[in-house]
Amino acid sequence: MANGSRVISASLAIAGVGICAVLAGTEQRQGTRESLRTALRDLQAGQYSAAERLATRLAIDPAQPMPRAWIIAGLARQNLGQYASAVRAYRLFLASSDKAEGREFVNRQLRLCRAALDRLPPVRPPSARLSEESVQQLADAGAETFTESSEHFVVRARNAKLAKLLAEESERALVRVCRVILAGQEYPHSVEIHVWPDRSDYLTNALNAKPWSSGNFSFASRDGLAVRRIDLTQRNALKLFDTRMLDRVLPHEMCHLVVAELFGDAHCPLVLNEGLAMLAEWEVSNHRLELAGTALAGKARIPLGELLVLRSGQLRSPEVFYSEAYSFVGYLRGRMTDRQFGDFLEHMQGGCSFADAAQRALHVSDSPQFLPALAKAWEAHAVDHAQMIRTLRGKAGLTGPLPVAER
Amino acid sequence: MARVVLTVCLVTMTASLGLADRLILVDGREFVGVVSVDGDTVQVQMEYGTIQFSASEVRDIEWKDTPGAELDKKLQALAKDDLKGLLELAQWAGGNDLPRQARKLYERALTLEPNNATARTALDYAWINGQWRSFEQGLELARNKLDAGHYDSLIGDVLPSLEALAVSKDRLISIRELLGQANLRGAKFQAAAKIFDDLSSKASGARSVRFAAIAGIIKDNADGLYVLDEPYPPTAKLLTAEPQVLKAGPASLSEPLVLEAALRDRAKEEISAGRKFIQDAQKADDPDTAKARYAQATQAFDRADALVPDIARSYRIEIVRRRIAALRNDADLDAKAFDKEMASLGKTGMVSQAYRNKVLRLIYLLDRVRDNLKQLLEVAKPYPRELVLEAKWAELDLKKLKEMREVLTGELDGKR
Repeated sequence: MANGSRVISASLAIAGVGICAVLAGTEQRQGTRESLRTALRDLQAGQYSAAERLATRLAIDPAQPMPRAWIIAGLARQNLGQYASAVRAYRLFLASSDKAEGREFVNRQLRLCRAALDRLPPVRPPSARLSEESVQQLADAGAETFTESSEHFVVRARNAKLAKLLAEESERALVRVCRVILAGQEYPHSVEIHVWPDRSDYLTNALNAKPWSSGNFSFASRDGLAVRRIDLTQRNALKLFDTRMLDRVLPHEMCHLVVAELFGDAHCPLVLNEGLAMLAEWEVSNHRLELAGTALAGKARIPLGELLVLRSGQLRSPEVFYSEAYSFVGYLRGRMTDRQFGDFLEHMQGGCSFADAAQRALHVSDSPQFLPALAKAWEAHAVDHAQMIRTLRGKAGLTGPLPVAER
Repeated sequence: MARVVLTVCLVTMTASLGLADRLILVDGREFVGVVSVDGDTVQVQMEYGTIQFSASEVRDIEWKDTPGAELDKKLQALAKDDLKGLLELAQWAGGNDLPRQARKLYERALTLEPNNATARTALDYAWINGQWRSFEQGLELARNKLDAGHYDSLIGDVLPSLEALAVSKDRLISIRELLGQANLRGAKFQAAAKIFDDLSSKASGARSVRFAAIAGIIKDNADGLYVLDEPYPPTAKLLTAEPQVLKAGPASLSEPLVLEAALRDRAKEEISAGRKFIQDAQKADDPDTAKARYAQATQAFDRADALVPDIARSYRIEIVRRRIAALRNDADLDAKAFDKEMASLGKTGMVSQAYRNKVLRLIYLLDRVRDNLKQLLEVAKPYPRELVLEAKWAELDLKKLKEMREVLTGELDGKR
């Protein structure tokens, strides 16, 4: 009997300890979750050091580690400029999380941290990297044609140095077009680039060249194979090397080529096609942004509804159309994530209307108010942007391009 | 003499009279119930059943007052300030199938004593947060408290009191949903998950899908941390009028917008699954497989729409457009067959029977085209804005078909 009592007492004691442990565990979990919320609040309030300390402590807590807290630590470190340790924190988060959501965000932050660590120089147009001497040399054009090739391009020019330069710059432009502008499109094709010394040569030799143009792209069939081709003009009317060809015409035509390939038989609205091509150019065009804002504030405006359906033969005011297309597509691209913009292009390619494609890409409820609201927001932005450019021009007394970037 | 009067009455009365009465038979037996008289038949409806007698078997009927008339008498006898009597009478009215009158009496009792518990309770009020409130008022208070962040008072006081008024399943679900939200916003994630799990089995349709998704989201993120891949609302950067914005990155599920964003992520997954089914349907070799895949796609879009209203609308329209194309295709085939028959109409000499058969065949083909177009209008009906062209086109065709059919049937009648 005595033994029985002892067994009961011992059992009760064990049960008591067990209950205490469970209660303690529950309390601890509650406490940990509260701490996690505190770390999150600190992060959102810009208290990065406090957030980092607390999140790291939670993540490595020996009693009850909370590895998902690494994401808070990572973001806090990134905001504190501690990129290398932020990368470590993000990696630990990715290793601990098997969920799909959040991965895109973390991968984006990792890219930003790595870019900050690599101290990548700001993007500069190709011509800005050329010396005066090089520019002079690039204006030479002999009788002989030189051929250079790269992964995607075969360049033919009457200047060996130019052919080599273009082979490199074409690859850079393609990366920019596919990854930056078109949100990660692939382009597994080979393209011929023909550079003609002067405008008359260009107009004589280029396929389907428009009389006012200095560059174009074309598709043709040779021996049953598709031939993708870009034709460019080397020199301007003064027989000087045309740097615009490198900075603007090459990426512009390349973008048209990639978009044409991407859309295939599907219709790509002119505003999107031209807007993307202008965005692909290396330099930001403040002139176009200023004109777009000015037009939208005045009588020359082309409303968004009209802009979206205009075709090349219908342009009453081409300059306003191109400026608004540049402003609008830049607005759209800058405000959508890569994934959203990629989805948007996919839906456009699938035959959706602009509003449907955008709403599908954003994953928002279908609404007839979407397009009017977008038009209103874009127009207000474009007008403000133009005013800012004018103000800066007035203050700086500058006449050339201003350091104002759309994206 | 009385018998004669009664007989005359019984013969002349045809309308049934719904009264709680006493029926006395010639043989002395008595029955209490609702007596009705129809010609020579007298019927008494009792709790345990209904019996019929012939009028000649009946000695007397003692008609009683209707409950309404009785109520009026009792009310007249009542003093105007007799609260107790009023409440008793209201209760009596309730028990005698006079709910409307009972309600009025309770309301009258409230004019004598506004906080009378018996009257308030009978009128569907509950004592919530120091005040008598109807269900709607209580629900509004609960929502306000939720928005104001008073979760403890909501969980501990308001919602339990409100549950006393949960006379229907819908009301109970509304209350439990608020309880779940209060727990979630108060960072009681486990409790919240349990409530939403339970709600998903109690509710039906879209609400059930939504509750199940919320429970799933909380369970998958038991620490309450949710990582947003994109800012929310997704249009915030594009349409600057958006009021509130969540940045992409880690956030707490206790914030209402974060839950909305998480539900949208789930809806995106459903849309992605639905799109895959559409692609499979397009690749399918036989119509039955294609139909099955479209049905699966529609189910996925239904789930997406349950999580975020109308998020999958454009995909539904896409499916409807494909269905319209198929119907148009069928209609075109019949229209071609009609044209072919028409072309041969005047070319060969026909005896009247052959001519008649030919016209009948033409009418048959027209009707097939018409049926397809009517079906087209039916499937396009829910999307009048988006499918305006398809619908208008079908309406015009139907008008033409009607005119042609009239000509053909006229021809048929003329040959008779």
